[in-house]
Amino acid sequence: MANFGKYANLSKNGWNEKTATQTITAGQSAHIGLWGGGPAGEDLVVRSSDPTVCVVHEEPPNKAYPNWRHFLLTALKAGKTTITASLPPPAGGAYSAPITVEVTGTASVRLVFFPGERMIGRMTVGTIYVIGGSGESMRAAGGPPTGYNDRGGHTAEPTPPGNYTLGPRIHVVAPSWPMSSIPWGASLRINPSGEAEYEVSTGKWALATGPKGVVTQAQMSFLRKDGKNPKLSDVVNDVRGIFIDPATGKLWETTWERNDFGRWGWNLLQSGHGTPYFIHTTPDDEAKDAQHLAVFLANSHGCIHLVPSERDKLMAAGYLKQGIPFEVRPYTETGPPK
Amino acid sequence: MKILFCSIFCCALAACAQPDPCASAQARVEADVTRVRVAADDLGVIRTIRDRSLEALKTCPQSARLWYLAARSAEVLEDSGLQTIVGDALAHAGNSPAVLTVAARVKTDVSLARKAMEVDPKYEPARRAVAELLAKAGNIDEALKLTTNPSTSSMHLTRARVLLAAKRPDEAIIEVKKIPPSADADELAPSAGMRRDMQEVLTSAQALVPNKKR
Repeated sequence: MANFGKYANLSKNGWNEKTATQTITAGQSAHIGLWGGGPAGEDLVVRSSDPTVCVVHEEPPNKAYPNWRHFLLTALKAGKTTITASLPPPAGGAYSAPITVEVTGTASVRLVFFPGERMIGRMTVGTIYVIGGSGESMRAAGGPPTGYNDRGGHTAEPTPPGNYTLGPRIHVVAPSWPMSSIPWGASLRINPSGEAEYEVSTGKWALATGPKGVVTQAQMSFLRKDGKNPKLSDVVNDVRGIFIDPATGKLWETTWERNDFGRWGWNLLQSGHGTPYFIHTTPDDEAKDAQHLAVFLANSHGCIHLVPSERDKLMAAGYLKQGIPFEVRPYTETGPPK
Repeated sequence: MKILFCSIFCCALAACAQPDPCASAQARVEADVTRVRVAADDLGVIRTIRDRSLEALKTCPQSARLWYLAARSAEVLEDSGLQTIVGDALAHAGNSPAVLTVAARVKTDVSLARKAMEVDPKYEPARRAVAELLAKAGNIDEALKLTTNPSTSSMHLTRARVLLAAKRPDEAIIEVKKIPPSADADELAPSAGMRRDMQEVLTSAQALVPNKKR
């Protein structure tokens, strides 16, 4: 058999050994160990019976205690739940006495993101939990766990753990990504010369295509950062094809919905200053979600990708807005099991 | 008679004036192919390419290019419907070197890759597919011959794989290191694809090196 308990230097604050109950104030966390495994030494599946009250993540093991596994308990809202350790499927079934977690008090609203929860295909995907709400959560994908240099002078890197605050909700403009040199939702039109223009502000239009178009210029710059020497005429043609149907000469769409940051973005502010990291969706996920098709979150370049419909729910509930504290946890915290 | 002639003439004129829906559908997908190269979420764009190609193929099944884009994007995405898409692509565009090349890899069938090379001897992805499939089957000599003097990043990677299969890890590492960091693949691919493939070859090659020297 296996058993939960406190080992090494795990804090015993709020822990009642006799009743196997851990009391945590909403918004706080506690740690618990699990000694042993299944009959064949297999890892047991540790989960919370009510993950809207308290969610369980596994911490990296302490090599000095090889028979113990280490779990982080994050209290989301007041209530009671049990933490169980079961044999993995298909056998299943409890293989340890459970513990009770009692979450007391209230917490002001904040969001906590665990980016390294699980692999889905080749992607490392996590969850953003609402603390001080009604136990809401939404899927999210940060940067890849291991960084690399990408095209256009960009890097892809893990989302740095730390404490941030959400900046205002904006249509992100970032010309270092050519498609993001125009804000999401900008109106498009074709001018008398046959070039696409976008509306910068009411009644003020700027060129998108053509040799002087903002997307053309951004794409030239992007390719040059890769050490390439693109021909302007090739880039002009490529960019034109993104906006205009060559068969009809008409715009594919009259509203720009190809911005890499999706409809809305929130910068992660640190000590009141902007960072390179945003919470946002992607244009292709926006399109899929609008058609009620499955959305497969991909790892970002360091930002945090959301599912559009889940973003909308959290926005409507008032949790995704300027000033909300946002914590990014380390990638080494994994689970909970699905 | 005059009225009948005029009616036929007007109908023909109207038909000529209508833009070709298949040309438009294909151009729409090509716009996404362009976007893959500069989009932050290029895998998301490749999903869109797969979906748009499959949708367009319902009315434009004669387009070999759309069949290639549907099959190749499904291959990149490791789509659960990959075998069906590739089977349909072969049935409709079985003479397209691009379609034959994807099918050769998906079905592990070197004869399809050889057919692609016959149709277009200059289509390098087909040559690479033949070399990699031959190497996997242990026919190292012919695979090495096909990848002699590589001139593109993709061919360097293929030669590295062949050298790895030939148990020549040192040379495989040298070959991978010839690939510049901003290398483009010669087929529709996500930016991370080439980097991931290079890393896989390097890891496998480095694992073999100490064993060889012991």
